[in-house]
Amino acid sequence: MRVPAPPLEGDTIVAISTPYGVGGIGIVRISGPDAEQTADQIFQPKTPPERISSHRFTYGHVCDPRDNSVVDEALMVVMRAPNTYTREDVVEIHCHGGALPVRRVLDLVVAQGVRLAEPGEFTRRAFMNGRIDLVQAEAVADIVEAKSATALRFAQRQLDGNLSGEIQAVEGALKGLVMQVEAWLDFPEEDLPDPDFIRMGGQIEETIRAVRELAETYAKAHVYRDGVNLVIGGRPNVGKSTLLNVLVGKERAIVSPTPGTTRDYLEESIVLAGVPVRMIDTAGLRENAEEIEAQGVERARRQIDMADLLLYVVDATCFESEPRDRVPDFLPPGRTLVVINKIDLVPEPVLEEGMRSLPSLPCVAVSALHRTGMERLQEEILKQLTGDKLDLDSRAVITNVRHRNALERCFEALERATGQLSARPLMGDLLAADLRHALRALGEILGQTTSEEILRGIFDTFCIGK
Amino acid sequence: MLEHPKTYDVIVIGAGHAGCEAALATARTGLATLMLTANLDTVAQMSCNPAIGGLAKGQLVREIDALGGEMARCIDQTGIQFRLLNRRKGPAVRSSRAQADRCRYRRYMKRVLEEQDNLDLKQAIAERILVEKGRVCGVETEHGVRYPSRTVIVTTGTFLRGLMHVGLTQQEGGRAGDVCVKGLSASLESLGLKLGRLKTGTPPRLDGGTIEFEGLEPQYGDEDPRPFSFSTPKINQPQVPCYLTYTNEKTHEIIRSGLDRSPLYTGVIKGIGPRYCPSIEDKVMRFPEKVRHQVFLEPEGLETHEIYPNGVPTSLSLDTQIRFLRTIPGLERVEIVRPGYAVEYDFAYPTQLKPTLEAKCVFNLFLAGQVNGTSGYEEAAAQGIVAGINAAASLRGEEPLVLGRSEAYIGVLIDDLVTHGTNEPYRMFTSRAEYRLLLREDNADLRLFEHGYRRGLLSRERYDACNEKRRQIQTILEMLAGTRLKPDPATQARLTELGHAPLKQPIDLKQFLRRPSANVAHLRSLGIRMDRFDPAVWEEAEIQVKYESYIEREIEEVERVRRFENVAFPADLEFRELNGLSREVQEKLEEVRPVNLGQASRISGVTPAAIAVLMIYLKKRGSL
Repeated sequence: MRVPAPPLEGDTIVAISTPYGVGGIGIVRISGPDAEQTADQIFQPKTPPERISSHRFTYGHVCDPRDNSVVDEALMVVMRAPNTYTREDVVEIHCHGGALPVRRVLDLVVAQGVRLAEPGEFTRRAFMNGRIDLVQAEAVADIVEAKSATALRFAQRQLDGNLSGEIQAVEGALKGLVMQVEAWLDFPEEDLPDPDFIRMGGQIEETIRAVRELAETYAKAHVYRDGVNLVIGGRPNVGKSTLLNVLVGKERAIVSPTPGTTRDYLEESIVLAGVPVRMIDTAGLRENAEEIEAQGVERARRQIDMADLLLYVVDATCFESEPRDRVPDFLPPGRTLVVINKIDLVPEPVLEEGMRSLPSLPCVAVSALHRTGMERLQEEILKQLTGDKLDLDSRAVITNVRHRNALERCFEALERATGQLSARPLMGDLLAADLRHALRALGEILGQTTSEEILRGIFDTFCIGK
Repeated sequence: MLEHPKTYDVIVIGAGHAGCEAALATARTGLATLMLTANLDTVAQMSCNPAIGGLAKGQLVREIDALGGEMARCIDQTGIQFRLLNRRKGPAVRSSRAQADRCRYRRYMKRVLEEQDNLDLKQAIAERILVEKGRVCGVETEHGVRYPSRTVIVTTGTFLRGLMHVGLTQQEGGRAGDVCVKGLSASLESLGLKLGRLKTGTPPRLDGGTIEFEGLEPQYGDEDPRPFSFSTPKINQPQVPCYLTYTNEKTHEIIRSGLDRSPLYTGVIKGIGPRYCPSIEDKVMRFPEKVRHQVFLEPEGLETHEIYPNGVPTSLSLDTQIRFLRTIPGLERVEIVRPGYAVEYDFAYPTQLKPTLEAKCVFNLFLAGQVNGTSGYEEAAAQGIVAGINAAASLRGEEPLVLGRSEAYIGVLIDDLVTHGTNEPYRMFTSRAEYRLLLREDNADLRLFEHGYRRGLLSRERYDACNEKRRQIQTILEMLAGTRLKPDPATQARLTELGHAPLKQPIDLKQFLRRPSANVAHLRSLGIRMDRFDPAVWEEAEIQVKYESYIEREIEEVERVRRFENVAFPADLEFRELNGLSREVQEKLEEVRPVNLGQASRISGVTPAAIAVLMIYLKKRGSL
């Protein structure tokens, strides 16, 4: 097994340079020639760009350049070379400390084509560029050595032992496929049967499914590792704070029948079936808010954007009156759960009729005040957060973004392989290239399979020797 | 003691496939070259099967040709059956293979050697390599003649302490009918080279007059044989068929019953044999579920009855050999004319060589071919030409030729040898090349002609032809990108005729060619003039278009790794003295002594952290 070598300096790298966790500030650090340009793409400063000076904090928003949606409010420091840790251009983005915002910012930077740093790479660059001396650097090298010596076990330690097992299973299947194709290509004069390409297509499909499921666990896994943001939203006085209190199990939000009592948002953390949940009660969302509320509403909208799951609370009594505006159309599909509250106040037929009229979003009916339907709600919350697989903690999950990227590359290569399999004429060299590419991508997690291993497999399996 | 009056620039010891290419490469650039061989009648002898090429080997032969070597032209003149393997599996795994007329092949090569200026051939067994102050200074033969020279290339194949086995009887020699070379092993060891033992085997040769070919499955050559050499316009000689037959349960039973006198199964043979070319006894024992094994009956030449039964190399006793052969259809009354045997021989661990094939321990001593632990004529010849070029480069103070893994199979071959070493006779496979899509037979000339020309081995004429080919490909690519197919009725009708889906919108011809079922032949029907360019040029353009995205991906990968290849280690670097490297890594690095960061990173057990430490060190030395 060979571990991939670190790339040479020269490109731009990024890493989260603070420990993961809720609270405090999370720093995403970018270093390299494209650092500032990358920051420009994702950070919208309040200060005009030309007035941003080196080594000074700038306030602004991290935005996704694809749709300009706000990811977080943050501070940015641009530090131009050479007076930086790495002696390269460095940009730091200081965002809200929760794991989620930090990770979203990191993902955004990576999406701009910046490479994730190898362990110890910032320090290595610092040395290479003469910023720190050899003694310091060797200390770093020791750390890096320690890390790469355990590189193979690293995957196993990620969350539980299932991960490397599952990836190894995928890798084993892929090796088998590569072997079949390589034997077919390299030994045409041997008395070997042609590979069963139909069966191979099925095997690739299966592998694709396994890889995709693993890659998707990344999105779900952070639920367990980093917790989730559960935002409670809805129009004023639908009972958001009561719901929060019931879910948390204590009086926390100021509960009052006067609409708009919750001026800002309130936060509370609970653990729901092993998932750390940060619950955020927002100020009511309504259009003609009082002036004093305006800022709270703005923040609430931003909170909704940040939510892993939005509980959108609807007052059941509204089914009896005006039919419009019960559920606004800006609710994020796929991460919204509609909660019909105060069901004790309306007759059942009205409730049923009302629920039918809602858009097709998942929906739970409760009475927070009387604690009716709360168990269903909890189940539904979990289901929404972790998918249908409630036994998430019994299977492997990907938590490292580098691993997820490797799996995605593996997945893409396998998709291409499927395309090659159905192309006529079937180009074996391209099919093999895709399969080998997929195997190499997995090798970034588990260590590379050498061509010698493939050949050994071929000689052990097939009788070669014309 | 007799001192030869002439000082040679180069002495090549051995006249096999490696030796021939090495000697031609130095003599052709004007260096006074002496070739010593134990037997002038077996120059360029094919010791095993009478064939050149095959998967990955075909690529090697064309690479040798592009560098200005002789092997391709030799087989083009003396081949008796040509086939392009994997014709339908994609251009990167298409390889040429040809049956050779063994006798004509060696006569052709000997003639080329004899007619070559600056090259002397002598029959003599080299006994000792003469070294002074760490530099090679000549060769001493068994008769006590000293030949002074400035470089020496050792290409002794399987001859060093060669020991042949037929059953439990043994005979010294590197090949049936030839001598054994003993002194040279000791000489190499005394220079500090560590030697190991390998084993290989060959089948018995059969009397074709005693074989019943009727009823056997014939295998013919291609109707349009493709030459190996880019300079051979056409294969003109007639082709002969091979025949396919199979072993059966009866055969296997006899083989199993003869194992008590098998040198392999009684532990007499200690050397390690190749896994990809096992003896028939190995195949029968390791794959008992296989009820039959193929046997190709290959003619040894046009002027002989001898038949080479490909698939049954064996070192079983002679009586077992004849008995099991006679159970095979067509061979019921066969007579063996030469017994099959196994041969054990010394090889030098190739990690003791630089990527130039120069020994690390002696200046200007080069080793090439089977003595480095490889197997196969093509692998040997490839090393031969590189050793020759680098001996010349050393004498002239020029940059050595080290081909990259993304540049040539020759690069993969030598890098594997000097970086990983080998425990069995090393053979090339296409799966060993990580950039296989770049290393095709069809583009070997384009990949390497500049090297060949710059080293003085390729004529100006061939150099110009390659440049012209490159230019023409570019012209075609531009034409394809600039020509649009419109969905008019005439075009749609023609597309349907060709079996293509009709167009939904206008596309250029490049896009058209990217359709899996489209090929350049279809362009003619679409009204494109094809006659301006050679079919090979069209083929090349087609591959470049169809494989564009894949090739780009591989090139990206090459570029990513290239930065490592460009970071050279200082020659005096003591890996053992580098703090921060584990003892294990230090020893691995010291053993291989990689020349650059790229090679270091490919050594198994060298971690990314170790690479980081090496970079830190180089930075400190100011060499990064």
